[in-house]
Amino acid sequence: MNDLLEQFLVETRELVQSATEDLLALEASPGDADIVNRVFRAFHTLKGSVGLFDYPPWLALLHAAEDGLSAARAGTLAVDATLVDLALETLDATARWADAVETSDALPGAAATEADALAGRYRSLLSRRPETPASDAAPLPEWASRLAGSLIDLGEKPMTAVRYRPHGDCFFAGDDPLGLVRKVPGLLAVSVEPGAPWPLDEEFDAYICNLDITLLTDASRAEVDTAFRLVRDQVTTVDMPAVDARTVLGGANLANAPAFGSVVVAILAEQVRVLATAGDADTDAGRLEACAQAAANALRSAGRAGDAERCALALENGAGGLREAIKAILASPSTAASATNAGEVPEVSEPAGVDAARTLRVDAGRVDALVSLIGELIVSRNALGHLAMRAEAGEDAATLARAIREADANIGRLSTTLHRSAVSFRLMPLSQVFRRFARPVREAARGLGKEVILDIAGEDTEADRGIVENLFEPLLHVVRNAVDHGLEDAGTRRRGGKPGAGRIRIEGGQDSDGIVVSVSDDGRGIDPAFIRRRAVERGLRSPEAAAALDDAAVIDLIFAPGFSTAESVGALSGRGVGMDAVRVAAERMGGRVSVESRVGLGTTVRLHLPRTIALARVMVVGAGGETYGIAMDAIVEVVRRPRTGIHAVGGGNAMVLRGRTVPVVRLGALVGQKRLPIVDLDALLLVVRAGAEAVALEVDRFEDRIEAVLRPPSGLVGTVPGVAGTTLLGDGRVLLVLDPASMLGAEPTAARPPREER
Amino acid sequence: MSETPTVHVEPVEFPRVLVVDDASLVRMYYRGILEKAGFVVDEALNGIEGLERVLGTTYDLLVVDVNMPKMDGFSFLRALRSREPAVRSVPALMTSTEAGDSDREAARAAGANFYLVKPLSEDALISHSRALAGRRA
Repeated sequence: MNDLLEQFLVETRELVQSATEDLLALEASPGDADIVNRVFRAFHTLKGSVGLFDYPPWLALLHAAEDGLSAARAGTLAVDATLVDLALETLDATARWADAVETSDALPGAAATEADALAGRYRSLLSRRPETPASDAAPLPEWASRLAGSLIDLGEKPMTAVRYRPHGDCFFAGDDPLGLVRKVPGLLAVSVEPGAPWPLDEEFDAYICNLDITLLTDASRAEVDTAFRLVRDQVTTVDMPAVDARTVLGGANLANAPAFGSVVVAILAEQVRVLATAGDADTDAGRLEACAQAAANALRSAGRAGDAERCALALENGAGGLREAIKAILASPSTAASATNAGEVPEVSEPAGVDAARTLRVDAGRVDALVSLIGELIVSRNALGHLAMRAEAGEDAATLARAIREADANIGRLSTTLHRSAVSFRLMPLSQVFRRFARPVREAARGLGKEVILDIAGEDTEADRGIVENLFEPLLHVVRNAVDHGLEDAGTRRRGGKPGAGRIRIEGGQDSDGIVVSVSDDGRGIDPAFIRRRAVERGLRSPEAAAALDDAAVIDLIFAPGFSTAESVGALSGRGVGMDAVRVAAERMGGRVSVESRVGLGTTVRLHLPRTIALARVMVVGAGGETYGIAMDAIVEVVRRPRTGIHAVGGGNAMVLRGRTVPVVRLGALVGQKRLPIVDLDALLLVVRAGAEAVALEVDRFEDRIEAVLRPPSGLVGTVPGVAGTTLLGDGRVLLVLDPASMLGAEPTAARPPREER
Repeated sequence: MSETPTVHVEPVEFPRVLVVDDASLVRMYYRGILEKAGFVVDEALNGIEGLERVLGTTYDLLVVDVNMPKMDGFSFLRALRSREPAVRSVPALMTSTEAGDSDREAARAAGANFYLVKPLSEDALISHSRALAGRRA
């Protein structure tokens, strides 16, 4: 795929996203002209970008959409649900086609039909508007007969005469009047005249279109209307019957001699204004020469070499002289100059690549920071060379050692910062995910006939790209659950004394070891009694076990596999995939999920996720005579307990920690090391998360907390369950980093300590 | 529409344009259009880079964005227009997202020869570039 296409896809998706948001916002405040304008601009830009490539149906659709939104912007088309829905469908199609183009370099087969259908809907919306003045019946207006008179030879065919008076601000609307005229089929004659006499002094405004274009064509009225569909309100069309052959009555054959190009006129006039504008004194000579050059070039481009020469000569007379010369040229009667079409240069097509390389958009500031860090690193390296020279010169060891330590500290600091800087490249704000929720929430609510207000907060929180990009699916699941099961319908809510519209809040934030993404609703909450009953029905817990669980533990059961709380299978959720899918997704990202709920008040589901995945914080511990690492993310707390506090329970050991019974397992036994004699009266315990439950791992000693780049387990180690990865210690030893959850075979339903002899 | 036969000798060498804009898609877009229109295109990310390039190469045209980090389009043009005669007279087309009068006025003061509001159509970019560079429209 070529670079331009790749960039196009990135920007198209961004535009689709922002336009979707704006359209949704528009639904809430239909009259907001700013938003309508933004939406229009987005479609306009989309159309422009699609136009860079060869996808005719896509372009036609966006063109129709732009027409519709342009009418909405002008206030001639109501911004109602029909238009918003249509625009949203258009964005949908655009997003799908962008995907198709990315994967297969072509639009899907059905695209043309779909584009036609959608474009037709825009047209029918537009046709409901009052007609713009278009046709004048006979008699033939003066301009039309004058134009007909300019033709040498009038055929037998009926003709259409068009008078096109572009709006003064048409350039700002992106119109190109002459370009448009040139594309009219069957053109017989064209006349381009100033709409009003050109003002020739400083009042001249090159940005105001001052053209009166009349043309004759043998194309049908319908074809002409199509050609001018974008400027319909600026065009008058007249049918002309076939006329007898006539000779020229006077005036040039205008079709063959278009007037002095409007671009050239505009450029010349602009030079007059530039010359009249005061600038820095030391730029005066440069500006004067540049203006002379620009004016001469413009004239040369119009084939007026003589006038170009005149500008060059006028340079001698300073700014005033040049201005007068340009004005004189603009005022000269021979403003009709021949202009040929630009010589076509063969198109340079770029070879189409096969693989779509993944691109990373990085804030330029971060790249700058990285570059300056690398600069510092180079300086520090130079210091090492200097040190080597000092060593060769026989400087004493103590001084050298101090200098080397300094250099080491410096390079150490830099490499840490460098790593952080590189990691930050991968950080992206949660807003990238959050912004995608407005629409699913709206649709889910609509499908269920509920009213939902979506709040989003903390979207600036940043996390690794790998996390953010994988967050959408699980979060969508939680959000849909909240809309479907969490929120009551408006009637029930009002009866319960709540506002009819439910509220869902998606919030991002940081905590000590990562980010937290929460989805809260103010709905009915989760009833522990119901969950208990369901858990028993599903055979997940015995009635006794279910009764023994406290309410928080019961609610955690919604994350158990095969648990679905849906009373009925809704359209949105309850498709047999429960919240355990969310839990699995969170755990796969190195995170976990928790839920908090109060009956009648609402539910909050939290995803606790690491901020970066490139660097892991690891606790180094000793167990059974070996050294192991445990990812800090898994560690809840570190506890020192007298052995008397650990009790034999069933086949294993357990202790009571803040009112909860926590199984105790010796790490050494878990990894199959021999037992060392117990020398310490206190047990050192790492309380770790294993699925939904906490387990205390007994270790021989705590060593260090390190930050390490975790290599995924490979080779033989890769086959051993419970190994999260490896990393190198400072002394070159390989540290095995354990994953307690999988080591304990943790399933939230079966977090049971393995038996061990003690 | 038929064409008037005129004799015109196009310079053999391709006109050379420098696009100074911090947005990569914009540069890419301009490059595509301008190359198709027969220009040789160089790029610079900001005014500082732009100056470095302009001092080392002879250009027929500069296409300059207003808002850029480090050195904006106005400062770039002011710096350029106050250099030695060989480099200061290159025509400059300024492009900006601002349609307001104050920016147009500032562009003129800085020595821009034309000012277009983004987004530019392909036709607008080609016609203005060719005219400012003295090539047949």
